[in-house]
Amino acid sequence: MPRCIAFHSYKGGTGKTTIACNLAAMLSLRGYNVSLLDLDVYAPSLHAYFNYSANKWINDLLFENSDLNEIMVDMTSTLTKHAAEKTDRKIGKLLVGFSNPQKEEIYKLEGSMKTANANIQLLRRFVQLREDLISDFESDYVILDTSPGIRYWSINSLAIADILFLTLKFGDLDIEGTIKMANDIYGSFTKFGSKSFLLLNLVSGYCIPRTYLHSSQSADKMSSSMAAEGTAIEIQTFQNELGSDTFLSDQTKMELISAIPCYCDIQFQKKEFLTVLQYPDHPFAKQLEQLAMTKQIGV
Amino acid sequence: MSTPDNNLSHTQSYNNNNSSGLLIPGIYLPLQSIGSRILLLSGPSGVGKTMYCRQFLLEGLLKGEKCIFISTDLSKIQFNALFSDVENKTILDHMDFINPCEGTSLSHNETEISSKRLATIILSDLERSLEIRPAGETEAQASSKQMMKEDDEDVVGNTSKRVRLVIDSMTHAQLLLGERTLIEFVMDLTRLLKGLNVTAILTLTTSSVDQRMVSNLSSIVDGIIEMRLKEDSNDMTIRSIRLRHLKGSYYDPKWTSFKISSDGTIIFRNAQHSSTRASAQFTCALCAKPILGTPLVKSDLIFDSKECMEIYYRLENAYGSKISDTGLPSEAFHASFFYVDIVGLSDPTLSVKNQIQKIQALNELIHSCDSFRKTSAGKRIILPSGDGMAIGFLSSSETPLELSIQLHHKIHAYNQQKYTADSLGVRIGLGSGPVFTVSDLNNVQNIWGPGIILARRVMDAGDNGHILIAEKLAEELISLKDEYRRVINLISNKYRIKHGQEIKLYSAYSKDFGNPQIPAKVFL
Repeated sequence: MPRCIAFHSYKGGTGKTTIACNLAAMLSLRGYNVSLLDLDVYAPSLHAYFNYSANKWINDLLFENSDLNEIMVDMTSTLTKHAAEKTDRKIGKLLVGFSNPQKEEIYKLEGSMKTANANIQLLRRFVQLREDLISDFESDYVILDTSPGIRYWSINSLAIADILFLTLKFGDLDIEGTIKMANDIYGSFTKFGSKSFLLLNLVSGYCIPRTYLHSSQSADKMSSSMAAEGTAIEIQTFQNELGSDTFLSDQTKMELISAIPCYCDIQFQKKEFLTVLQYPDHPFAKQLEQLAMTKQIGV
Repeated sequence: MSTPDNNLSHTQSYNNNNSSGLLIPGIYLPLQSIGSRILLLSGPSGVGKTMYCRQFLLEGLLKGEKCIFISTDLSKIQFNALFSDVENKTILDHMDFINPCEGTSLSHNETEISSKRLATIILSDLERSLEIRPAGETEAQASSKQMMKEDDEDVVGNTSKRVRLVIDSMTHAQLLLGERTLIEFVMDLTRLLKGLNVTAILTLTTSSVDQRMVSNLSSIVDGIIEMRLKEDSNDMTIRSIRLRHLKGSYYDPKWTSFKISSDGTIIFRNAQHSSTRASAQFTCALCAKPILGTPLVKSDLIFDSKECMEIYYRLENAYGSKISDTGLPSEAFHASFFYVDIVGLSDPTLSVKNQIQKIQALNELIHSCDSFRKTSAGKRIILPSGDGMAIGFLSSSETPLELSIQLHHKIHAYNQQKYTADSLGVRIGLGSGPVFTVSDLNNVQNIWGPGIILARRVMDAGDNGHILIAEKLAEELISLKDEYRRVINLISNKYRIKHGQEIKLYSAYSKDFGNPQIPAKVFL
């Protein structure tokens, strides 16, 4: 059964795009057809992540200046190009839809919000986008990288998704804002069939300096203390940061689905790009693998 | 091409149900009472206009409808070749092919008179095919019958029978007739088809720069269908179609992609346009598509799928009272209202500055009340009324009374620091009931309905210091908590409000808030 997964957060910089792209690549590598959409329409970044200059954007589709065929870019070849290990398995299609970063286009999307009639046309095309990706493009997964906070297009994105991941980052975490947002709007979605989960990212205390990005061969020389290699890391407790390891779940009434540690080699590199492909044994990749295998995603 | 044999029952209901719309390939024409529709199909050369017309006619034949194909450039042999892939050749017996150039002495270099004659021949042949004019009948005889048609539709032509007509192509006809004669021809055609039940498609080859003929004909025809041709990043040709305009109907001009298979069948991306599905009478409240299957009905809204229904209610819940901003239809919702105005604000002895200060003071005092601040913006609706405001609460029926009591405490404290002339006096009315969200002339969301009207009527009954509550809300609160039972008092069993409606009227008061006096209007 096709699933539409939305990555959302209260504030920006929580790692939504990184997780969304890596999960999309991982699912495609496992044979699933995946459509990845940049719905962070106010601050698009997928084009930069994939270093791709699109001719047509999601904005064009919403304003009826293009077809779905034109805006979805087949990135499947990128998977094979960057995969560290060759696989004989059938790779699924990875289609990516980009959002236009030009300020005029962003203004236009906001500026169109003047009349109810103009709004409904955009909204209906937006709803149709999800339906077409599933029915016409035979996507097994539609992954939405949404705008943070409570904004028009983030609400619309969450409304069309089946599974919502509220992503939080440790450190400068705005717990109060996240809890308020979760209580204000997430109930509206879960009341009508969606499932929502907390996804902790960049959890502190697990940082292990690695050399993956410079020389994957040197991984063999790593000390035995790096026992996490090849396995997902088990997050112990958040008592230090939050007072209770169930504090966030209790406050947001959401189950914690995964906690992804902060990795220096990812966090501080110039540009992370599909770590799950390039370094499949990296603990980050293993953590995402574990996430993909949860019943909610269902690999 | 597969041809379903068991079409009879479907055809029967289709033809007899004139209140439903018509589904033509890729396009749903909204419902229309009996009458003809002439649609102009425009698009570049090679986009597939002829193949679209072929499918349009075949779908009509499968429904048992009469079909007519008019062409000035296609020979009978070419026409037969167009339909050579059809398995069940017997259905083609119900289709007439008309080419006025075949078998006539007209040549392409004849004068303007010949052009008019050619147009007349086309219309005469069409009349015969429509059974308006039998073979051999003169124009005078036909004209006489046409006049009789106004009085008795059953005498001339079968107006209840659906007919599909294609003229392919107008571009070639224009070469023979000239632009002026062609426009006159289309005008004559609309007159001829008036009162019949014909859906006609006239094809016109256009380029992106030359849309003049489309513009000229758009005022004569009933609708315009556009086709376009594009190439994707893989150099694959993508054809798409949309209904750009339809007189008297709103239509979402959305492009639908299609392919032309090797046997000439047009395949749409969205399979729901299949002609074998029943025609639709309802559209989905979320996606606005015609509902072709069993509709899902919830409250007063109709959806075509569970997904649409769920997405609608997620949006409706998330946006709350702002749902009308999205343009989505909204259903009635229940709200409890707090209606307040400043007593004596329009007193001519008060300066405008003093009036403004009082309005600002009221706004600030309301904003400082806990019951107001703790209600999230999505769960309340604020409607300014000049000398006061109405606030609708979607969350709790207790909130309006809590706000009233808190406001009275705040006003008491405020007035202690003011001279009498600057003191603030308010009257409050509380009520509850269904309301609808509507967009006003400025496209600003607004609400209207019995709930807010009742709160206003109740407030109008009060004097300074009164917190008056309409029957239903008062009784709900009394049954909820003893503390409400102690402060809410029935003051009239039959208070008559506007339009003669009689309601029970309650007043909330204690030594700290409200006004224990019977309002002057109630006392009278």
